[in-house]
Amino acid sequence: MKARFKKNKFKAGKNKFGHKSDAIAKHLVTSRQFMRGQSTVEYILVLGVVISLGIMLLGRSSLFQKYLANNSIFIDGVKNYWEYTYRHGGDPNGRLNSNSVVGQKHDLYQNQEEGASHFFIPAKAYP
Amino acid sequence: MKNKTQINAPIKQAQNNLGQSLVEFLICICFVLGFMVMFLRVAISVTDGYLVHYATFMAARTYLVIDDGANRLDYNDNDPRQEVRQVFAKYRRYFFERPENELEIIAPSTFQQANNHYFTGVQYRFSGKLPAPSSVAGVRPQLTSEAFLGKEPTIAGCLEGISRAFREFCSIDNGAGCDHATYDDNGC
Repeated sequence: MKARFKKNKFKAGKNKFGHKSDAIAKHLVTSRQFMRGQSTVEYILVLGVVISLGIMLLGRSSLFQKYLANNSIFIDGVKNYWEYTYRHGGDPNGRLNSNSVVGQKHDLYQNQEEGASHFFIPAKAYP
Repeated sequence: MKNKTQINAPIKQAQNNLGQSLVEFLICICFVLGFMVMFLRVAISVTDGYLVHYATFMAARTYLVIDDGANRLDYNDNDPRQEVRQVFAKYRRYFFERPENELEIIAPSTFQQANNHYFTGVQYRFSGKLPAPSSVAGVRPQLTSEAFLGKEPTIAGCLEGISRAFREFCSIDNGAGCDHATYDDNGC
């Protein structure tokens, strides 16, 4: 590999830059210019890994338990939002307490502001 | 004039950096794969939710129209449950199998008041999964899928309704109402 390195890449450089080591140094400088963005991308990715490891290791701390663990403020909010939107197909607009069972209030079937149904129904019960 | 150490320094530096990119690659590939798995879990959860909604809707359609032609008014309460659950079972996911016996069928007789009858249909509750790290993976949202399409009158119900209407009309003016009576079409 070393022989090929010398033979192929810097054979011409020896004449052009005068000395072999100068050609290598110039090649390294040019390569680094092309790799300017790489360190940023690597930094972001490694930062993600470090944060993930931090969450795993600090998972039992009180601050984590309060905001990110099971039954915490954030996770409960996501859970309630998901439950509401899955059932009602729309944004809750602060009505996350519509944990209704059949026969009680239901946001899709009753206009809670007017206290009436969205639908007309028979006056008499089904036989 | 450069000495031998100065000449070989860039080459040695390049040789010392050979393992760095490998380590960075290994760290980054774990992160990227983790992201991909997370989005895959989100996609599976959403698809699963849509399919359960569809299965519930199809079960509600079955409950809406099912009728065995029996001369019993209580048919809409008990008998169609097995057929409705079979329809629901056809659409469930086979690699996330869901028990169809948890499908709740809500008959019109469930309600004491007629103004709640629009809740007639089927309802299915199940536990979803949050696409979250393992520390919060224990969170299981209780999702509810429901389709309240109602229930068509059965043949026995239609017969009873029409007979009742005739009796009511014929009781007007000592039977004079039987001669000229118009009945609305209630779908029977």
